[in-house]
Amino acid sequence: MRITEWLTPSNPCRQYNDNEQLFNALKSLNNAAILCVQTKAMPSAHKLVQQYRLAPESVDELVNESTLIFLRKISDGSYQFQGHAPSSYLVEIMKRVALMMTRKKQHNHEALEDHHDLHDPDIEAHKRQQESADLVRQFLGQMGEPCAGVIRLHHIEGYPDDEVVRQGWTRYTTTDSLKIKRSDCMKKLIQIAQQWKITNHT
Amino acid sequence: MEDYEPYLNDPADEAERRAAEQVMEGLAVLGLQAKVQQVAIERAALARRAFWWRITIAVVLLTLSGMVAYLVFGKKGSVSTLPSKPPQKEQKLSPPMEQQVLPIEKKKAKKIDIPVAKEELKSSDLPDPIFNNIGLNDGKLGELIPEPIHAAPDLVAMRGEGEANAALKALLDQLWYTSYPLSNLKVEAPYLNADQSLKERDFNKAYLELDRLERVQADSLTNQIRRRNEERMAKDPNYRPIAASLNPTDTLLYLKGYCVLEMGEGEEALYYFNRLNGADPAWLPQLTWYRALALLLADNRSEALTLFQQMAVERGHPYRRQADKALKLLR
Repeated sequence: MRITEWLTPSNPCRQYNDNEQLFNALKSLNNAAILCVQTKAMPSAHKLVQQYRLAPESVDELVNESTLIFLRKISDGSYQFQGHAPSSYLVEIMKRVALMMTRKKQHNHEALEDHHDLHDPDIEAHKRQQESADLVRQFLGQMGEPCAGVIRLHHIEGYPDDEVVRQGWTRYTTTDSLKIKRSDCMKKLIQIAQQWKITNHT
Repeated sequence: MEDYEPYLNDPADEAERRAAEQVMEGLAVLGLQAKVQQVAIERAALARRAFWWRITIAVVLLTLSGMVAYLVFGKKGSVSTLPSKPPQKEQKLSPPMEQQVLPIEKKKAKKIDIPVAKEELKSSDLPDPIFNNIGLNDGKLGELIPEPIHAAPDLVAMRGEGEANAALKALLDQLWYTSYPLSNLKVEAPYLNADQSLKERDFNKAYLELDRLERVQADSLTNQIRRRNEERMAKDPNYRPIAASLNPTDTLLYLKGYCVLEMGEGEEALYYFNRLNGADPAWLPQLTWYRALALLLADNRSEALTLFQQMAVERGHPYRRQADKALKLLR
């Protein structure tokens, strides 16, 4: 571990003794683990932003977008632990995201000429997933309350049902009634999505 | 991806399965986006802490090396080698207010401040945010106002190391009379988590929680208004739909305004405080003080001065002496 990490108060990497432990924490979407890989990858992010002549303030966007792809690849199993540091994989993703950001902003034409093949399956999948997310956000808006709330609290914000009931965030006072309502709402959401697909393909 | 089978019709066709897959994928991405956003806020807080931690270590090392140098060379009659302290440290170690006031002003302060303080204690039931904190309400009146308990937000780390930021930070450090719980505000569910975080001065955590509650309230209100519009338009084709206005509760506005103020976001704090115009009048004295601090943070000195003047002349105002101090410092 580098000395600068020890000089950082409440260093998020301190609790992980090895890469495997860190990878397992990332699989369960632990905040400290995510913060740890981001902290390790941060110097590379700054270098990439300089190298691709992106705006200095786009470091955060680069880190956040790359982390999103990184976590998605862990959760769908396409990135498996093979003994390497997870942060080095995040840096690899960052390079491709930085390239995509350059292409989008068309700031660095020379760098583009160096990369003949601009088609990147990971970035394409990321875009498709973003579209799905935007559509679901739109459908939730159409559904309104209480459906949007009960779905968001469980599927997006990840709160356990007993916490939702205890805090009184919805009108449902038991976990059973909350689950039943959510199930109904999910059925409705799928119907809206199906209807949308039919309307937009005919 | 979470299993979507329980949500499908029996038997489900291919189109329905594809729609379900897309919905689950979208929800998973939205969940990850929320998680990444949450971590980004923690990352920003960590960066701020790391900055100050390194400054502190540098100051300690400099002081230690200075002391060693003094011990080695100082006693031999050479020029003192103690290094000058950096501005941040100087400010924390600044002498108490009494020592900063010129002798003549100090005498004046003695003559004027004691009767005013006694009068206030008799005439007003409002709690004094300073004297309550340091336990001087038992008849032992302080001649001069004590320094604030908490330091102002770290403007140098947030806005850069400019001279103006350092000067504003130094000024605010002398005026940062903030306290939690907020006077006369009764906090109930669903604000208990945020309340706890604010008590612990974990403002990032409180901000996340309040932001979430604000979104929940906004979603709920927008949908109510939209539904009402649709119902009325169905009955009356000439009905003009009203725009969906997002009005969170006063408690949420006050808590979030206070939270962002402690995070050093003056303009954002004003955005919330200014929406509290019809709020509980019992909140007003403290709210006015916080609004004045937010104006200073937002570099709007002229409006801040107006508020300080109002508070300084109002008999029995719990922040009267703090406002007086602010006026002296600003002039």
